[in-house]
Amino acid sequence: MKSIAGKLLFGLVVSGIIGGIVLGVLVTYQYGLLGRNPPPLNRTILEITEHVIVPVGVFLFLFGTGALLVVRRVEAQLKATARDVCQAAQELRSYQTPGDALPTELKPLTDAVNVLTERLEAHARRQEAFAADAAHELKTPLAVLAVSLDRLPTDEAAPLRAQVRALSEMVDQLLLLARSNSPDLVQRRSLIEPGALARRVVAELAPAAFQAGRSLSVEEDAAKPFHGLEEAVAASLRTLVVNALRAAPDGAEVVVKAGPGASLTVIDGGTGLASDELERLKARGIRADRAPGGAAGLGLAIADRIAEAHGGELVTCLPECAGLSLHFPEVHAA
Amino acid sequence: MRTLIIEDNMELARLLAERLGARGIDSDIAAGIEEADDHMAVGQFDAIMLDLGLPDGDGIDWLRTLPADRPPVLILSARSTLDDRVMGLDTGADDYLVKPAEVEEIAARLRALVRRPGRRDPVILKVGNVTFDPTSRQAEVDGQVLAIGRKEADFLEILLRNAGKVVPRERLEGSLYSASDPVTPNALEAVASRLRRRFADAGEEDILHTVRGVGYFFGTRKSL
Repeated sequence: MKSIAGKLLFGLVVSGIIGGIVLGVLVTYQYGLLGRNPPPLNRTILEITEHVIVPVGVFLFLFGTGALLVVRRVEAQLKATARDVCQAAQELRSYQTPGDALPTELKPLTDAVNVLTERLEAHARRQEAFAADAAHELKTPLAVLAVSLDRLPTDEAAPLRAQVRALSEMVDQLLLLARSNSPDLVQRRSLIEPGALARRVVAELAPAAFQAGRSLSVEEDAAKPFHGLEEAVAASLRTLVVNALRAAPDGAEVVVKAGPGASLTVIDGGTGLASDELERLKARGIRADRAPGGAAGLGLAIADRIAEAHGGELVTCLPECAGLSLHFPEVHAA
Repeated sequence: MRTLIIEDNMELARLLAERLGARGIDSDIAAGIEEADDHMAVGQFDAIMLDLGLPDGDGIDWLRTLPADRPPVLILSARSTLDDRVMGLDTGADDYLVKPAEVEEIAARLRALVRRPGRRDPVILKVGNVTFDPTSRQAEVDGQVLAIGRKEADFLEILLRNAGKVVPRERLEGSLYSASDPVTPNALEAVASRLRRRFADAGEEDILHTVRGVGYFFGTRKSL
């Protein structure tokens, strides 16, 4: 019996039994039920019923009913608070239990949890500030590097420029990831239309895709909006598209599909990633295309973490198609 | 052309000055706001290149204090989010580049800023072997005149003015068809394929590209 109501019931039964025995002994002693001249049996039963069973029964019934009512009320309060906490978790914001929402006996627990939440929030803020500082600090040497490359002949500088660009993109992604995890995400986020976002990212990348001998297109299918940090989600989608362009065979078309629902799928016409392989890549943050060397790639891992920070996830769309999908929680009408 | 580089990282500032110098753009360097004020008091600049996080204040705040007749300002900052860029441009900066930027692009943006007042688009638009004269509405490939209709000419002009960038189909539809004009779903694609045929006949293949579900862009592998 782990519920408070169960424990109370158990306690009442035990105290009923003990109380009954004590009363029984008292009644026996007072009326000499076990003496030399005991009263007749029906009188004995009447005495025991009147002085033991009825009082103990009435007491147990009233006390039990009262206790159960109190327990139900506290349970309702707890459920209401839990709903608020779940809502906060859904919206990825922190939550402080108000002091008067629950009985004072629970205050030590709510206070302790509030302190924990506060500390986690402060930690997330510090981490974001740290990521912002780190990004800033990393960008200055990158800027020096980019400008220095101008001294080299164009053909020698080109591959190095690509590396600087890739590094810089990664720094931006890390910063966006930190922002996505920030407690201030709720204030910063907006309503994202998957179709509009897909068109924006594809428009940005289409000329480069053409140069690399691939093409890009957008398809929409019953897409639904979701809440998020648009730039962060755009960075995730960009990573998926860039990966897909790399994985797609020459001349292939990479399709970005908005919907159904709050999802964005990038289909590359390659062999696709099995879900255990994707999990491994997400965890280790290594390059999805397994190409040796080249730009350092935390891309897929960061894309997944950004989706996760939005309450979503990055999944493979095998066996239906070869590609990856970002799923986000849909916005429910209030 | 003379610019003022306001940048606290001396190594970056010197490198920028050197590489811009190689492109005929002379620069003075200020390591902070105070130095920038000194330079502004005595020098005449065609453009200012401004870093935002400076040791003695924020570049944005300094920008607000400048008089209206100041030279055009190009912000070169590590702050890369859309909010940062919008704020920079809203404060009155004329252009915004995110670090690390390449010298070629910085120089191009500076030249564009200095050119901006009274700037005219080049009279003849040109991408690869394709040219278009916006006044006579005449398109040519390698000097060979193409026979194209009014809608094709309008379509081509918009794409050429945005060469290398994807132009959304809504924007093309808005420009090519009036609000009362019923646009059939394939109307735009029909215009694009007619143009493509004309280009192919003149020997220019693979220059007008459809991005299905988004729009169109113009460019050759070399021009992009």
